[in-house]
Amino acid sequence: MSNKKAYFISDDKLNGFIESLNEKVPVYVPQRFDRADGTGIYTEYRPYGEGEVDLESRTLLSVKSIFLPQCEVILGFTTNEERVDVVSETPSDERVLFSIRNCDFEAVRRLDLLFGWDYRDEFWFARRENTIIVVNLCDSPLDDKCFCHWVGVDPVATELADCAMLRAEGGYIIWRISERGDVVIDVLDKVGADEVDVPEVEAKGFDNAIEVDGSHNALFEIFTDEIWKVLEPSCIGCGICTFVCPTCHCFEIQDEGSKRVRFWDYCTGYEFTRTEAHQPRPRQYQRYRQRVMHKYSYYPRRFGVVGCTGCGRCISACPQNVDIREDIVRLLKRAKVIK
Amino acid sequence: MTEAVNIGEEFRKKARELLRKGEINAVIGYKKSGLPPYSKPHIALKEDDTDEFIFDANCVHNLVLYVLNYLLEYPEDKVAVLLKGCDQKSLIVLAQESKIDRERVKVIGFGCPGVIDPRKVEGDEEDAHKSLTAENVHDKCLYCDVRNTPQADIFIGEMVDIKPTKERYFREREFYGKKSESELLDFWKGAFSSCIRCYACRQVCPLCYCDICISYRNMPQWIELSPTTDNNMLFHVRRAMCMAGRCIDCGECERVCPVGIPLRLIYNKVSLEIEDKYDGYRAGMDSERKPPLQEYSMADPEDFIL
Repeated sequence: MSNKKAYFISDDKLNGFIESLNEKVPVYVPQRFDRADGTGIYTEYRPYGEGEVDLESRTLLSVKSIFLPQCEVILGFTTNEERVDVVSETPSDERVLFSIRNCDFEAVRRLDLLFGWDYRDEFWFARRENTIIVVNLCDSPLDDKCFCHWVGVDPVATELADCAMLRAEGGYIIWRISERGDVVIDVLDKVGADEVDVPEVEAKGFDNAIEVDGSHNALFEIFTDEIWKVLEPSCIGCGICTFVCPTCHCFEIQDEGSKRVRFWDYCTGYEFTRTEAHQPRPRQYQRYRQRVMHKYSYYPRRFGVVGCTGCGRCISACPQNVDIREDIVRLLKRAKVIK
Repeated sequence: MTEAVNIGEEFRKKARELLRKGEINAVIGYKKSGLPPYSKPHIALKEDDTDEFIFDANCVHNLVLYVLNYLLEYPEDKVAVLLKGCDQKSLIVLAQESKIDRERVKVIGFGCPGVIDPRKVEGDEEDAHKSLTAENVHDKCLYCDVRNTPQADIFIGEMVDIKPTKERYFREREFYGKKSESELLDFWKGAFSSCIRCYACRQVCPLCYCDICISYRNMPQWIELSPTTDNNMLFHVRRAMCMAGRCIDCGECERVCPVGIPLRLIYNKVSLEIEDKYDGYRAGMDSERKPPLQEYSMADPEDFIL
């Protein structure tokens, strides 16, 4: 199969195509669900067939949940009259992650650095290795909350994906990048998608960036600055921004009956890293500082990349309208990185 | 954005005056935001901070939460706060529970014509957020009987005289009236299955002030942390028990829920039960009357005990 071939799949054939693909390999795709109170919808990456496919809105939760589920059993035991058996299974089934945006994909790659750092997290990498990635390129921002161009993410990068796709009039153009993408291309061929040329993709509309990269040491210097106390008084300390974030990765481990379970934890909350003897961050501003500094200072200091990929979810999901871009601008001014 | 009631200017002046005199350390109000619902809480510590204050129909947040948080940090300070009548009820509950020293809070009251429910205009253009209409008005405003902030220390603007047009908790009466028990169970299972346990409902509630919530206690573990439907239901039902006789229906929990669980349906149902069982008691309406679940009386109903 030639590398140069691309396929056009029209909107009305899209569902049929994903269904055929799903028969070969399980497909995770953004789907829309009604809110329980009937006031609108939200979209989420779920196994195909649970809802209505919607590739054009920002999902509520990022693809993080596909690689690091909100809760997962990492160890368990079974008992019978004679013996106790310890059970620990790493996920192994191959699947396709369809229509992932570059902010999310970059976030997953940046998290590879962390999960492979002091020990190799077998659950994370098992899921990484068994996932075929079809990246959906953004030739323009989804909306005014996108800021991936602030934090060094290329919204039209294709190199590390297995297939790439692009919105075209009336449908999508999909093409192969790596050998693993063949399974997707084969199905496209089978469902009779039209052959077209691989498009030249250029990102437009990503303007007015504030360059965040390279300011981690300057931010570290203002850790004790008074600005933190007045920076975000409206933060209520819930977990929404960290849960929807593609790079927030803190977790905690608890035992539930015969299972040892790993959960997402959130640094904006009171309980985070608190022990009976000590609360390291008793004030809300200190918890908010932890979140911001972890992304823009500690993470780049250790791994060389900013721990934020500008997906804009924390901005759109925050119930109290905390806009992390405004805070970053104020902090960079305070740190004298920008004027 | 148009100001629903014309109190912005007067409030800015008042806030500036209070801070200048020095008897107040912080003034809490609203400021404009570029994102829906186009307003956010604002705390002014200096005179110049007061320029940002606004008030319009988008100012839905219950600011009592920020009074509580501020006073927990600086217990010696005094704060002034702009409160709608509904929000002021939660201040009364907190004072009844000795959580806030009412002497330290100066309530700035006004006549509120109602607020917009951001959920009803979600996704609409900014125009839909501009003025209060019959389509976007919050349900709670339709049966509001505290439009002119009661127990205000300072009253600004003019009194409003708008009568309730709906029966109190009409949505809940209607909802529970036509559903069978099994239908209700199915409905709530569906609603709770989407809960991501971000605890925004708990965090935004001014009456949820426990340092360590029971949902996070793990010796013993009352509620498991895995966000399964059963565990989520346990968390929410448990919270409903906490709110019985305390919830004042500010609607913040429902507003902040990222997956749209209709939480007011739960808490208002509990409020209805309390009203029914305890001689029409409504939380936050009367600061003199003792909350029924916090005192013991021989006349308490006990038909639910065996």
